[in-house]
Amino acid sequence: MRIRSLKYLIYRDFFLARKTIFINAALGLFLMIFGILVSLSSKYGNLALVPESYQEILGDMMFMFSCFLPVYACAGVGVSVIETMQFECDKKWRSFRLTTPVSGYMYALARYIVILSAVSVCMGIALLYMWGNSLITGEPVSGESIAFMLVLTFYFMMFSLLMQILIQVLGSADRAGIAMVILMIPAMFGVMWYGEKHMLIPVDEPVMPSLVNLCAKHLPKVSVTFVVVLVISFILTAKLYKRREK
Amino acid sequence: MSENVSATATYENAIEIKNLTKKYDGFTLDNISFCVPKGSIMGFIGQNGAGKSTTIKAILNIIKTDGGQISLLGMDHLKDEAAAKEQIAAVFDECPFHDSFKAKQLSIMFKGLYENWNEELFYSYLERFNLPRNKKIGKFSKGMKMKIQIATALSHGAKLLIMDEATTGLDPVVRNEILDIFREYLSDDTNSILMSSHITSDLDKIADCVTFIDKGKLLLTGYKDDILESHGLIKCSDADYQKMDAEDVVSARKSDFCVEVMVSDRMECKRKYAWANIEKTNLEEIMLFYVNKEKKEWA
Repeated sequence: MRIRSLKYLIYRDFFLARKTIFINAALGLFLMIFGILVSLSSKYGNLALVPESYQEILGDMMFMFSCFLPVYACAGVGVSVIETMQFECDKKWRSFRLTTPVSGYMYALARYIVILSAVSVCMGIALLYMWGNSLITGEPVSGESIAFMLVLTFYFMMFSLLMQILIQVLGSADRAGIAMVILMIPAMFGVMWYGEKHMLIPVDEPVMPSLVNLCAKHLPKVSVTFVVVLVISFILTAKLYKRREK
Repeated sequence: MSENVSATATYENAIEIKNLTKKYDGFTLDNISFCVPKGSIMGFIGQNGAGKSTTIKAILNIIKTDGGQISLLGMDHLKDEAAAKEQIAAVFDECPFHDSFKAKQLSIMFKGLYENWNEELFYSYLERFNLPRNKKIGKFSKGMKMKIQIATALSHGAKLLIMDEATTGLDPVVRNEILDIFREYLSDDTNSILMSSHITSDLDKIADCVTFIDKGKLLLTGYKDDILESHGLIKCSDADYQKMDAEDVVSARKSDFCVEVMVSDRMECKRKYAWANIEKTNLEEIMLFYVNKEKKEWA
């Protein structure tokens, strides 16, 4: 019966997240189409006629745009779908959920399936965009760009999952936000200190390509961390869903 | 016991609560014990803050308790939780469903929550309650939200309906409709209802048994007719009241004109106080007098 439950709970969670998915996906699609048009224009259109002195700046901006667009498409959808987990925090629904014979794990599994499905589809579309863009520019899709997309998506999603756990534990988004700031400030300083100490991004090289290469280098570690965070957050979420009131 | 344990057909009481205790700061649910017989409707009466919702949440395992045992449909409410909840439906004073759901989404969700979800029955209740299928729940009135909750509760073969202040805030027409549905539900002898309310007039009409609770303590429990039959109200002068035995008196309400005395054994008091005209009473008055029992005399 419980696998059967999953099917209907997934439908429920998709239904609740439908507006979020639609809006972010539509925006991402719009930006991708815009990106394709800009690429076409830079090769065949007006942008191809831009004076050489501007080409360098334009090239860097286009490189940034083409790197961040897939990140937005995936991370944007991922984060906003994760945020719909807040529906589970509604006090009335929480009490009702505890009266049903479905376990917390089933509710959590349905939600995580929705999150991962939405992000996977967006990643597929983003890869399609990157491939389409590569056909226009004549440059092959680089592994570093894909790694960059994955790493940033994973980071944003981990951040968002942590935020949702905090909301459920602390009971409100305000308190969770404060807790997040308290946790993130030392973490950010730590990352900056580590980055500077180990010269992760060399000062005499362009930032974006260095950042992209850095992400590619750390993809395996970040992927493993993401999976671990995903599993832990899933278990915590399931336990929180079945946590009784005091 | 395995998850697939179903209610034993031989249970006598739909709900059995023994020595239920729950402590909060400033409030304690203190050794509550009562039963809801199978096939009956139990009215759970008390003032605001008496502990009705706390008791119901404990029964439904929404809150942790500090002691006591609860059995639902012959099953332990903790060990056989999933099996018990499969056959229980809860209705709360506020609709818990997301505002963007329409009837269709609700039905699909409930298919996943309960094995015995009956979609046809659900839609038939919607027609009967004149609830629109294509309107979002967020746009429903309070009465409509309550009706859709009840429709979902009655559509998965639940043997026990637990309602927490479900008729509060509804107009008399809607309340009567809902009470009629409960009477139909109880036409199956194996179905039972626990209904908490401070609207005693509803329980006067429908309840078979009543339990009174106040400040976390059980005041009285039993069959409604027996309670109404055994209790009575004497209106007398202060001098006559002073002659009465304290143990016969639940409490007395004093006014400028007379003293109203609630007695718990009408027949015995008729014999002892032949001068007194003992009137029949109702649940509301019984509740009022029991709530003031400790004071003994009140205005």
